[in-house]
Amino acid sequence: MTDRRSTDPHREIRDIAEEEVRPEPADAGDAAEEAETVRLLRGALDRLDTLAPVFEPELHRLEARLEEHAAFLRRRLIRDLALFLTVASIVLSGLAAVILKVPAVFLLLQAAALAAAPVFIIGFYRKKVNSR
Amino acid sequence: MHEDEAALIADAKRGDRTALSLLLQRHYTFLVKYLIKATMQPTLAEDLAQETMLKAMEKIKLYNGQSRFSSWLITIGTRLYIDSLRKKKREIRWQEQEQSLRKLKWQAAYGGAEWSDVLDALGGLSEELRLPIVLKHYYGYAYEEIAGMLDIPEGTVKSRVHNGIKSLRKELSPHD
Repeated sequence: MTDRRSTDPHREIRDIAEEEVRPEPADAGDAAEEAETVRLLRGALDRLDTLAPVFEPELHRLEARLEEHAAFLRRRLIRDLALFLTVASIVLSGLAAVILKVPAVFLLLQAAALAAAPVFIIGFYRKKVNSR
Repeated sequence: MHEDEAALIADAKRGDRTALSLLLQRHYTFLVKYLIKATMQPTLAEDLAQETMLKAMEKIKLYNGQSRFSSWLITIGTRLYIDSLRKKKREIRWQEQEQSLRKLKWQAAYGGAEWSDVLDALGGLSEELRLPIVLKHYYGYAYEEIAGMLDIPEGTVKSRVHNGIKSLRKELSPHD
């Protein structure tokens, strides 16, 4: 316990908590039992620290791991952007072709979407109410 | 907050990878020890700590200094743990918990250390009771802070801590 407290950045917070578990006079027996449970709990958790030793990673390894992850995030961003731009250009060129070549189909699609919207919205809210 | 730590955080937020590594290295042991207590599974705790480090790197610019850096890391680690639990089936989670407790008991016996029934009782509690108990009664966080960490209402935290302690008392009672 001494070890943990001396290096624990939560030391001050923990000290306040220790005061909070003091037995209340209103229900002294119950509170005393609770305080005893908390005391046992803290002791057991302190013991757990000794059972599972932790080894701090070396700085250069940690730095390399972070660098590797940053490279992964960059790659993922580029891939996602490329995918988004490809899909967007396909959809837009398809839409442009439909508008220019067969405007009637475009108008039909617009009307269908407008009609379907309230059906979807009502269906969504009904499902939400049922799940509650 | 320590001046040195504040400077490291500022550098890390500007993209200084060495400052961030140093910061994470300083808090690593504290984080893993917390995660061991939260999960009762040392191997899982190490994995979650690694994930927490990476997530901290992604989110460091969002750290606003309202809580301690260690508390911020604890919050990330806790949420990653909760996410990992959602992905696993209850039965598998229970099996892993049992295995881990057996291993810890064996380590205690092998190292000549005394095993505590409290650890058995704590390991037997569900995660939703164990997490607030550890945060409240071991780390001394306020109910409000725990509610923020676990993303649940403060009243729920209070009732979980109360019910958790009640369950522990029942488990440890000599009459049972």
